[in-house]
Amino acid sequence: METALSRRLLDDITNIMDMQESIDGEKIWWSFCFGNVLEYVADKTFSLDYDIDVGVLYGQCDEDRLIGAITGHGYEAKKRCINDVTKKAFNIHFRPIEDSIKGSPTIDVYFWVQVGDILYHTYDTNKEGRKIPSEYVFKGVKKNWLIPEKKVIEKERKIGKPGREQMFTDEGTWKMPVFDPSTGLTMRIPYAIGHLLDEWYSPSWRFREFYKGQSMSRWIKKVKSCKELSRARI
Amino acid sequence: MYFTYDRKRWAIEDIAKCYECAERAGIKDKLFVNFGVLLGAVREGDFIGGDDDVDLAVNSDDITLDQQLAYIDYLDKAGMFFAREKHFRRPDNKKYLWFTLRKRQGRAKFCHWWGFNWENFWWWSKGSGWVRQSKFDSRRWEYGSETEGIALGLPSKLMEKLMWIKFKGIKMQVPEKYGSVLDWEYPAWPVPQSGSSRKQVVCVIEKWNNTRTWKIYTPPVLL
Repeated sequence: METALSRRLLDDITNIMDMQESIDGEKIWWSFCFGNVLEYVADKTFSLDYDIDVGVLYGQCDEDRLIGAITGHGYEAKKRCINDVTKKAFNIHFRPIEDSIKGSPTIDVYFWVQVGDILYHTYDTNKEGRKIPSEYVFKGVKKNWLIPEKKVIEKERKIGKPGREQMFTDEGTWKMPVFDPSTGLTMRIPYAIGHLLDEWYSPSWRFREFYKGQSMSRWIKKVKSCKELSRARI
Repeated sequence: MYFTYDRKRWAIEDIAKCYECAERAGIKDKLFVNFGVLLGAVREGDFIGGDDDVDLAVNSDDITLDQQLAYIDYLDKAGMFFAREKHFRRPDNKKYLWFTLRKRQGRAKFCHWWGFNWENFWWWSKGSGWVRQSKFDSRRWEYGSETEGIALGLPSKLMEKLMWIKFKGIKMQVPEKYGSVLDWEYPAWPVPQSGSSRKQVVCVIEKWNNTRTWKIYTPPVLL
């Protein structure tokens, strides 16, 4: 349900993520993912009914700075699924602890890892209570569904349709209006929304029961150690 | 607002009738909604305000000409008359690629699209009806007055399976990859915008009976 708190959370998360920078001082790619995208498309809202899922690119932003920014808003952080080679997290789970946000959804930040033209994410599957899991289970999507190629970004800009141009970001995501337009709030949505929802929740996501299960993928990668991802950019 | 309360009600009635006719012609499981009706069904569970017709589609590769003609005959018998002046038949196999039903007072326009597969794309066409500057910019897609047709493409893999949905009290079919289809046809589709579907992949057909004269224009990167 939409509330003052859900609006505040959306605004806070958007500001925090927009402030993150790459090592080169560039804006980072980020977007809401999974259930939040599904809820936006189905109900045009951002409620407190579902946990918040945010995607960033593995290695693009400073992990500690991101943790500092979110914990500064009343959350505690727990790194999950640590890469056994680099010791960086594939997922950071944030739990609200401050009184003003207690009971609100948790935030999961996923670090998408690129292997070839697929972007993979993982969280705590098979970790069996350990930070470093005995087996990593990655689920993938095509890279250009999340992050369009430069040529696509250029083309999208050229089209310059008034509504679309305002929604399109430099990083290739959409900033789609949410809630009452007077709030001016937008939600960061990945480029190929339909492809992603078809992949994650197909085929029921819109017309059958509201999907509450885990996201699905036809690209599954299971590895004992991240050494096996040697060709990945990690 | 084109889709008034009554027009929506009648459109639903007419879609159901089309399915009845399709069943008699043996093509019920091939018929699905596309373009604006698909967008409306997914985005709003309703017809969208900016639309002005109902688009139904079939993969013509999967049906025979006799089935197509039988379907038209059943439509006529059901009072949904085929508009003889608004259609296009492929010269090589005589199948209809596109036709509309005759306008009826107060009722929604109905277009039928009979797509076909070629080179991993699924094509829609109004044949020579689309060979005009106002529809396709000839500087972007090269064609001349002798060009026999222009077709709009979608990756065939998105159209492999259909699924039944309930829409305003009736059952109709949509592509199972409806989200992906909408990404192609209407980028940023969750937010209402003006304009028609996007021309992402286009095929210029100089001669229908010679595929070597067909030229596909694709963007630098496909989704």
